[in-house]
Amino acid sequence: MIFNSIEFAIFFPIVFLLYWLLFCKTARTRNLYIILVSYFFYGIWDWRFLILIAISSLSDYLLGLQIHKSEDVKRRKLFLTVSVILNIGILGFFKYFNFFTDSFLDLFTLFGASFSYQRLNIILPVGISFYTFQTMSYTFDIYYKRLKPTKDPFAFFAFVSFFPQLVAGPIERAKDLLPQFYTIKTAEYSKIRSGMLIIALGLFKKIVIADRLAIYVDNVYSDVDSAQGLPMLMSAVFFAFQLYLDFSAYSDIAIGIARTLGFDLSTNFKRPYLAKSFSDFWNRWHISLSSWFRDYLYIPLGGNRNGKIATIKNIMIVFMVSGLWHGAFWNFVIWGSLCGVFLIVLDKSLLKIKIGRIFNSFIIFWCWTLSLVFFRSTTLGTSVDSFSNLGFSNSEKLYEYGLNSFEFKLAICLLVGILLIEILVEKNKISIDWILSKPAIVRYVFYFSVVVTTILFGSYGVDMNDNNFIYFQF
Amino acid sequence: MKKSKKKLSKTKVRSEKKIDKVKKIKDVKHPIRTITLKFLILVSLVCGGLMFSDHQNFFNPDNINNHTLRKWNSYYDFTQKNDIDVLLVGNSHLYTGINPKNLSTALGCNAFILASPGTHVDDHYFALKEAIKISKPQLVVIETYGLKKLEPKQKSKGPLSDQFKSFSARKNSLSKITSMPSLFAVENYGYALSNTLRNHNFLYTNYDQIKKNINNDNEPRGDKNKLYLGRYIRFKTGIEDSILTKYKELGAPVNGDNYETNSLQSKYIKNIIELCESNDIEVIFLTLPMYEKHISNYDAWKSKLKETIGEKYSSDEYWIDMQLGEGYRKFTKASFESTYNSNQHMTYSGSLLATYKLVDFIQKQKRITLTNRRNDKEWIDLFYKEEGYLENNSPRKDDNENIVLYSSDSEIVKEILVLKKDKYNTLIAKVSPTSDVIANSIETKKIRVTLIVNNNGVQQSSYLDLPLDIYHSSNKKMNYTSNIKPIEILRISDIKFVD
Repeated sequence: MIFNSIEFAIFFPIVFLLYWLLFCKTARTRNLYIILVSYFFYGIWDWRFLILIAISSLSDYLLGLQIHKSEDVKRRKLFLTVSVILNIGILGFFKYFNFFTDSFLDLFTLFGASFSYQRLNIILPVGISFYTFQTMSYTFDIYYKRLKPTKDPFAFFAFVSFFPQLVAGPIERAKDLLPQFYTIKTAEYSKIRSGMLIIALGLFKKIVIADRLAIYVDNVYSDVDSAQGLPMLMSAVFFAFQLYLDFSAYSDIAIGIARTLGFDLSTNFKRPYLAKSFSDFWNRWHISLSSWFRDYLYIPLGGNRNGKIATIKNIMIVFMVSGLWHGAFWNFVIWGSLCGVFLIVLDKSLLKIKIGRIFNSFIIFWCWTLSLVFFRSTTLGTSVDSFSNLGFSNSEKLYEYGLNSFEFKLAICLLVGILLIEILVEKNKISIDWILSKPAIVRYVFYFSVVVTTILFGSYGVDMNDNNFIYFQF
Repeated sequence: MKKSKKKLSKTKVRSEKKIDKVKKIKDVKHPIRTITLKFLILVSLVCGGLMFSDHQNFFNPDNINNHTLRKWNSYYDFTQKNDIDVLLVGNSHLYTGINPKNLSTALGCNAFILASPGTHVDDHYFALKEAIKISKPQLVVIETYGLKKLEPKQKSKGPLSDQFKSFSARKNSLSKITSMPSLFAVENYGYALSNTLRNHNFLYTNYDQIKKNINNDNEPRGDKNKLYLGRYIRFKTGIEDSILTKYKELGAPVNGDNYETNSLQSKYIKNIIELCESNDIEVIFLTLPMYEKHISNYDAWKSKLKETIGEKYSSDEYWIDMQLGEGYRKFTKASFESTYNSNQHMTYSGSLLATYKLVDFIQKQKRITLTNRRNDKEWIDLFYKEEGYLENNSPRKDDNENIVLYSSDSEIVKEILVLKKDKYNTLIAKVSPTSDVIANSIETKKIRVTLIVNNNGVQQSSYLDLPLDIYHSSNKKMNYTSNIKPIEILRISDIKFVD
């Protein structure tokens, strides 16, 4: 069940009304209700996935209690190791088993040995990378004594399975989200209203802009060989925006849904294409994952405390792992490595250059866009082909990839519009609260326009491709 | 100083106002009730807008070529004044394979084809359900090409689009909504109900169509005042030599072994039978043919279909299977669309053969009693100038153009008439063989009619041999025809069968 589906449009209003009218009297009944609806939401994909999430939740709940109870450092470490092995084991098996066996065998083949083996047909459970990281952060925080474990299993299970952010984040920290499951919520009109507006704007971003860009990108990448020159370049640019708008739309919708239920989720994107440096970019892009890697990988590795070389090594490890987190393909590892290299090599120079922020943002955007060619390609071979096809030729073929001239120009206008809005938001000129503070007539016209525009100009329909959120595959 | 103080106080007032507003918002007594109410108002406004747009047909596809819509519109119009006696349900095979005007005039009743292209038995069931609510026929004919393995939730884009057309053309909202879960996956509900949702992409891809729709320049093809019974003529010429060569080289494109059935398909067939039985409607199954070389292992197809239709309805009394048809009205290469695709339709001439075979079948089944409207003035008025009427019925007495030259109740040749046409006239001799044996004995013969004509004031005698018109003949009524020059015929002096 995805947020931009009719199933969800039926599911959520029912969940919302029952939540506030029947199940919000006590925290326990509310949490039990959240677990039930979240398991239903997740089980729609494949009920077998529920076993994994239940195992992950139960083990981390129990291990968290054990880590906290133990005074002995070795025992604490042992319980943490068990938690890590269990979580990484599940993730590793479902996401990386075939990748590592293939790579291992390829390596042997390189040296002349040949093996024949039957690849396992493993289905990747939706959102496994997200909830595994979320539960792992819980045991890590208890281990590092940043957090006391919860004794309320319902609160913990609800925290792990909370449906708005279950399948594609934001990856919440227990210290931020878990306490919200202890308290009784009261319905706040302003909070629900702003949550609904955030949902509507998220859907607009996804359906009207991201999915229309997807048409072009998908068409180009389905026939990389023929898409030479400008079409390839434009598809790279479009993909950079598609990825951002698609994922940030998901995060917005998740945040909005949680808000209507009285929960606050963390911000996942802060206008990344206006970043002034690469480090700034990573403070704005997929913040919940970036900060996870910072806190649970980069800093434990030593961070920047052990000199330049060690820092470079740590950055590269973090980015390569981050690449691998996105997908079990070498493309993602290369993409992650490139991001690491940009941060190490270009960041200081960018901060020194005083030409202006727009220039920095421009350079960062192009580096990022080019790195995403690896992210979007399905194999290393197509990545190389895509790169070699980038250019400014074949401008006459620009409209041959699913978007006609009108659609293409409209897409460009929408992207410019998005950037202008982001600049205004960055300068605190406009915000959700700004819209909500306008007179009723203006507000209602705005709401109506957003919905109608999404319906009329959205990219959906029986002739359209599957419009899943990109990050669902991770 | 004063200015800045004023500014400060203004800002203060503004921020106080803001706080008041926030407080006011927080003070909403029943937030869930309020938000639900407002949300419902917004949803109602949006739905209202969509309904308006749907009603105005802003996002309708090209209606000019939408014969499914034309068919249903015509059905609703026709049934306002007339009853349907024979209702035929199926897909494109049916509306290209049966000629409802010839069927009606041969049977002396009202026959209507409600067939939508690309649809299957699930749609047939719901179409039939809606149709019999409006007018209850005495006989329902189900064409079997749509009786295939059904997986409605996984319909691919093409069939789904056909399904939408058929669904949209029906008017009863309640029936439509109740049929939706059976016909469409949840994600397609919106598209099924609203043309605006389904075709909103016209804003990008087909803006001209929207302009046409806004200008009301998008009415379905055909004169509303003309009788339309659901026929659609698509193919006039038969199979070309290139296709015959393909049959030789590649074999038949359709293999009966590949025909698949499933329980869902059986369920809908059962539903159709139950629906008809509970409404006291006779139901028969009709298999329109493909060219004999177009399909191999037809027996395998037939035996699987037999299983799903059930013992009773797959018997010869309930199922007319024309695929194995033989006899003097055998289908030939001229009867079929020239295609090597798996989906082969019939040509106009082929459809006439099929129509009269169906007439035979219906007339042979004693349990099927259809209202005889041949003496009904309204029925005569309705069909008089339509194709097939005079081939199957006598001209009106006040008809000065089409004249009966001879009639007899006792002889085998019942009637000879001359039909006036634009460039020539047609002489038709209508023969009613009293038995199949007689019919078989005369099918290869001609009728020699000796005419006394007025040739520039001089009476002359001449004869004309009329061959059997296989396209307008049934077992009970065989027509022998020939075209003649527009000449004044005074009388007939002799009639005899010749070899």
